Amino acid sequence: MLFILDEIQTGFGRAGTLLRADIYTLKADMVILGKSLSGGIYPISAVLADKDVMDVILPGDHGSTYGGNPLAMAIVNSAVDEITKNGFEILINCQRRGDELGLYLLHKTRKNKLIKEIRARGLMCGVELHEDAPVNAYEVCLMLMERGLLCKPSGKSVLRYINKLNYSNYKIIPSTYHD
Amino acid sequence: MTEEEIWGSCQIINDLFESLEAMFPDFTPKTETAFNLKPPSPEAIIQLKERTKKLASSTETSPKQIKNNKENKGDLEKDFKVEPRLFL
Repeated sequence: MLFILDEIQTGFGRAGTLLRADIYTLKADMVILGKSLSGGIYPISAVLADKDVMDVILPGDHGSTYGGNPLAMAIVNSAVDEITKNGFEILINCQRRGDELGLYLLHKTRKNKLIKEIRARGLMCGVELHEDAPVNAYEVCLMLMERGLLCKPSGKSVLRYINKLNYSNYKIIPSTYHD
Repeated sequence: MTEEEIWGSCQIINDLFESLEAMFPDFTPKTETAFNLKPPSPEAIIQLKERTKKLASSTETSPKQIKNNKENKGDLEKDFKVEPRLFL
């Protein structure tokens, strides 16, 4: 049985590591990437696999009309350069900022009766509402939109709050824990 | 995106949930909250600040540092009793 990781959302830096699974030192047979692979600006995906898995597909077995699109490849090259430059500086910054964001949200909202849990990894944050909360995640997203903040519901009860990876190295901490 | 915008967005989320809580004062969740956790302890906050300060002052940014950062993150999880889980 193959162990396949869907890292389309979480992979390529979003969680503060190249793969989300890196945190658990998981070793998958296959990994699926997308989204951040192009810096989020071009539709592209990729499948990574060990040689013994990949070699099951022989030349001519599988084709793709748009596979290897030159523009897409150029964009991916740039995205890879950006992620890996200066010793993965973006990822380190993403972890640092993510810690602060997660702790800040946890600190500010942990007593709120509507919220069941705050989850954060890198610059992905999830705010989970109680299942029986009087509002659902979609409604909360609409209310946030009216206040100028775009978030996305993930299912009925999870509010997904994602920030861009390339924050500058702001000095956030001093303002973090003020009530 | 500026620092003010980043924390402003967190504040928007917080303010909205405070408003919603005020709108539904009688709401009592039937499901268990994950926030029966201890709040961030002063020690944990100090540790985080020290670690961030150390990282910010470091000129070395290497994959090894990422690994170290991951290990530190493990401590952070322990502090807040966040169980490892697949995200979302």
